[in-house]
Amino acid sequence: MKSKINIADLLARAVVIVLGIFLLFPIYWMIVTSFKNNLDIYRFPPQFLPRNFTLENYGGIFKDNSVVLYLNNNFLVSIGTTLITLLAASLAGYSLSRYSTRFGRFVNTALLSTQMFPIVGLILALYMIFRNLGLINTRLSLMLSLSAITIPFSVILIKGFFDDISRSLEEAARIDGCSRLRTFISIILPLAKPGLLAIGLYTFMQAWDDFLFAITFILTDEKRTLSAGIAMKFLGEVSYDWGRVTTVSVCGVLPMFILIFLFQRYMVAGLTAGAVKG
Amino acid sequence: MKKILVPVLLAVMTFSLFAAGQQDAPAADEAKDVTLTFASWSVREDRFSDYFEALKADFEAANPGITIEFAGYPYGELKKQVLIMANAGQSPDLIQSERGWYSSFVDGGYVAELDALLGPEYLAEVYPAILGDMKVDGKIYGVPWIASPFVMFYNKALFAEAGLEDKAPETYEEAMMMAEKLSALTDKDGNAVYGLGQSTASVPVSGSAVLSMFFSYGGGFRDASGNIDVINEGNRAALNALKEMHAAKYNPEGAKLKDLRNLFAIGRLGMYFDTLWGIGGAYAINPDIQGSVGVTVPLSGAGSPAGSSLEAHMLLVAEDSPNKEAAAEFIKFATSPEQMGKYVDIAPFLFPKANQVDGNPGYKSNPGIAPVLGYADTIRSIEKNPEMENVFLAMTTAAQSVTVGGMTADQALANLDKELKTLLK
Amino acid sequence: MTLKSKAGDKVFGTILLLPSILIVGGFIFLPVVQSVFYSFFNFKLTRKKMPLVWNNFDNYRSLIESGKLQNAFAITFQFMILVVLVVFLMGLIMSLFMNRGSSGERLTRTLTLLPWGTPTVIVALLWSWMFQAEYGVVNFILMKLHFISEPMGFLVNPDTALASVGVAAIWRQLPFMFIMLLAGLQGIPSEMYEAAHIDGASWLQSFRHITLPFLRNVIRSSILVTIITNFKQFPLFWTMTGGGPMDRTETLAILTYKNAFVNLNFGVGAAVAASWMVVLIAFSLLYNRIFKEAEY
Repeated sequence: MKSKINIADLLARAVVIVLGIFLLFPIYWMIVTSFKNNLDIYRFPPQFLPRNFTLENYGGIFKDNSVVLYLNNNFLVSIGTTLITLLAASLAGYSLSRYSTRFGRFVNTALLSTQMFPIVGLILALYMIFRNLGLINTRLSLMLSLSAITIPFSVILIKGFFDDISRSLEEAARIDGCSRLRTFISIILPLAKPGLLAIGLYTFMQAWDDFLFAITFILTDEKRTLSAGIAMKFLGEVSYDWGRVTTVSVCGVLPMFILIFLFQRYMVAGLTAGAVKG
Repeated sequence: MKKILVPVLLAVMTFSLFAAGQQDAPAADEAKDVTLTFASWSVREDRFSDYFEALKADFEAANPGITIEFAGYPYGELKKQVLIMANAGQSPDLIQSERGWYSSFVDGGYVAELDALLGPEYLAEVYPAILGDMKVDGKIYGVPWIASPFVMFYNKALFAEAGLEDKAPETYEEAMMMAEKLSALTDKDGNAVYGLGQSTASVPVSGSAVLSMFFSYGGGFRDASGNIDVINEGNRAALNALKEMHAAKYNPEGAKLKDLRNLFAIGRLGMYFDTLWGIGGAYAINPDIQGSVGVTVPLSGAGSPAGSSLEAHMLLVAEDSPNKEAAAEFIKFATSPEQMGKYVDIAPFLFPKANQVDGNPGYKSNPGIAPVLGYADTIRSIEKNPEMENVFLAMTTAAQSVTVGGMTADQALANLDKELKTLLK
Repeated sequence: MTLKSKAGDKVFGTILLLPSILIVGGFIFLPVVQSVFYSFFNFKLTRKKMPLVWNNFDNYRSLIESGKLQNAFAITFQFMILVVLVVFLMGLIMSLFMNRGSSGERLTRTLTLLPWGTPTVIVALLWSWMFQAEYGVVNFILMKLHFISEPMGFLVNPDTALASVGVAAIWRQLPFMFIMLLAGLQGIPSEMYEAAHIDGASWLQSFRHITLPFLRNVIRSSILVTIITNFKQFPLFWTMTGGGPMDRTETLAILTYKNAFVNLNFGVGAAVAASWMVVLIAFSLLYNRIFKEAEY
C-alpha cells in the first residue's frame, strides 16, 4: 500500500516537472534570445547560453521612450478594463444570485451567447459604434470593448461565489434595517473578495493580451499598447527583428511577473478565507 | 474597508474615464491649410522611420500649407484597417498598398482615378509594362512606388565553396544542377545547406512567387482567350520541378519568404527567389553577407521565356479624400528621382520610372541592382480581381500538395482547377 | 409589506444588471445583430453604391457547396477538443499537486503563471520560431532525446500543423486553468478530507466524492471559457499557419477573416460567423444540461 502511494507520488512529481519545463522553457528561451546578437539567434545547434552576450537589444529599444509608453498604455487600459468589469460584473452577478428573475436569466443567456461570435466578424460594426460615440483613438474605447468581452464570464464566475454565501446574512441585515445596497456593499461584497480577485486577475490578463482592438481603434502612436506597438515597430514586412521582439516581450512579461508575485499572497489568503460555503 | 470600497471604485472609474477621455481635438482648419493622413506600414518600422520623418520634413518645407500626418500600422494589418476606416467614413488620404491588395481597393471603389491628377507627363515616365499592370479598364488608380519581379539571389561564397564559377544560372535546369552541388555542402556547425529556395507558405505573396514559377515554365492560369486554364504542360513542369526540389531537399519545406531570408543570411541557402527589397531582410540579420550576394533576373524553365508577376509598393489616393490634388503632389514628391535616391540607400528596390533611373546614375553600376535593371520585360500583367489574393493562396496549396502533401502534379492541378473555377466564376 | 419588498427586489435586481447590459449590449450584442443581419444579404465591403439585396441564403449555400464550412467546422472542433482536454487534464494534475503545499510554492506558482502574461501575438511568433524546421530549438531537443531522427517542419507538415498550433494554445492557456482549479481546491475545507481519511476512504474515493463535487462549478466555467477561447482562436492560426498547409488549419475564424477582409465578401464572412454562433449556442446549452445532470 505504502509503496503504491510512493509510485503514484513519484509519477505525479515527474509529470509536474515535465509540465513545469514545458511552461518555463519558452520563457527562458525568450530571455536568452534577448541577450543574443541577430546572427546567433539563428544558429543551429542553438546556444542555450548566449555565447556573445550583448545588451545591444536593450539599448536599442530604450533609445526612444516608445516602449515605456506602450507599457504605460497597456497598464492604463488593463486597469481601466478591470475596474469597469469588477463593478459591472459584481453587481450583475449579485443580482442573478439573489434576485433571479426570468428577465435576469434571459440576460445571462444573452450575455453569454454573444461571446460565441468571432471578433473579426464584428470589428467593423464596433468601429462604427465608437466613431458615432466619438471614441475612436481613445483608451476608453479599448476599456469598453474589452469589458464587453470579459463581463459575461466574470458574471458567471462571481455569481458562483455569491451563491456560496449564506442568505441568512442578508436576512439578518434586513432585520437590522440595512438597505439592499448597503447590505450588498458592506456585508456581501467583502465576503466575495476571492471571487473579485479571480475575475480581476482574469480580466486584467485578458485586457493585457488584447491586440485586435488596440490595432483597430487606436490611430496614434502615443496611445498604442504593447502588442500593437511591437507589431508595428519590429515585425517588419521583410524581416522580424527577433532580438528586439524578445527584448520587448521580456520587458512586457517582467511587470506581470512582479504583479503576480505580489498578488499571490492576497490571492492565496483570499482564496483560503473564502471558504464560507453554505 | 467596506465603507471606502464604493467611493474608491467610483473615484478610480472617474479617473480612468478622464485618463482615457482626452480625445485629440481635430486640428483647427485654417483657411487653406491641408493635412494629409498617410496610412503606411513602413513609416514606423524601425529601419525606415528616420527616412520617412525626413521625407515629411522635406515635403512640408517645399509645400507650405500642407502637413503630412503618418498613420502607421503593422504590415499585416494595414489593408483591413484602411477598409474599416474607409467604411466608417474616416479614410486616410494616402495609402501605401501592396500590389496584391490593389485589386481589392480598386474593385471596392476605395481609391481615386489618378490619370488626370498626375497628368500624362508623369505617367509617361513609368515603364509601359509596369503601367500596364496597374491599369484597370484603361485607367490608373495607383502608381508603383518601388517595384520588383521575383529575382534570384545567390551566395557567391557558397558558390565558390561548391566549386561553381561566379556566374548566375539562366534556366531552372541549370539552377537544379547547381543546387545539387550546393546541397552537398554543410555550414561550419555541420548543418545541411539548401540549394534552391522557393517560398510555398500559405500567404498571398508566396502564391505570387509560385505563380511566377508557373509563368517561367510557360504556364499560367488563363489561356489566350481568357478561360481558366491550369492543367497545362508549363504548370505541370513547374510543379514537378518543385517536387524534385523538395525530394532532393534543395528547398526548405513550406518556407515563408522570411524563413528563406534568414537561411540565406546565415549561409545555409545557396540560391533563392525574392523581391529585390526582400534581401534587405537578410542584410538586417547579417550585414556582412552584403558583399557576397549576387542577383539575377527570373530564370526560364523548360525552354520558355522567363516571367514573373509584379510585386510593388504602391501609392494610392483615397476616393473619399477631400484633398486629392495635395495627395497627388505628395506622390510626385515622394517618387521624384531625388527622394527615390535617398530611399534606395536604405533598402534596394527597382525603380518603376525611367527618370528615376536616369536621375540616379550610381544605380547603373551598383552590383546589387544593375544585373536586374531590365526587369520590366519579364513582368506578366495579372488581372485586377478582388479574388486575386485567394487565387494566390490556391497556388500555395497546389505547391504544398506536391511537396509536403505527396500528391502528383496532375492531382494538384485538378484541385487547383476546381478551386479557381469556384473563385473566379 | 412583503409585496412591496418583492417589487423592490425586482427593481433593485434589474438596476444591478444595467451596467452589464449596457456595455455588453452596446458593444457586442448590437454589432453581432448587425453582422447576422448582413449574412442574409449580398453585402460586399465596398464604397460603391450597392443595393442591399436579400439573396435567399446564397451566402450559406455557397459556403456549404464549396465544402469550406464543413472543413472549417471539423478542424475547429478537432482543435478545440484537443486543447480543452489536454489543458484540463494537465491543469488538474498540476493543481492537485501544488495544492499539497510543497515548498517554494509561491515562486513556483508565479513562474508557472508566466505564459499567461505573454501576449498571444508573441506566443504565436515564439512558438513558430521554436517549431522552425531549420533552426528551431524544438527540433534540436527532440533530436537529442531521439524522438525524431531528422528535423521536421511541424507547422508546414499537414499531419502535424494543427497539433503544433495546439501546443502553443495549451502553453498559453494551461496557467489559467491551473489557477482556477487551484482556487477551487483551496476552497475545500480540509476537515472534509480528514473525515474521509478517518473513514478509511482511499485517495480515489475522496477525489471522486469530495474534490470533484466541490470543483464542479469551477470546472464548468473554466472549461466553458477554454472552449470559447479556442473556438474563437484567431491570432495563433493567422500568424503560425495562415490556414495552411493545404487548408489543414483553416478554422472558422480564418474562414471568416478571409471572406470579410481578403476578398471583401462581408456577407459570406458574416454567414460563417453566424452559423458558428448557432452551433456554439446549441453546444453550450447541451453542455449546461450535461453539467446539470451530473449534479445528482
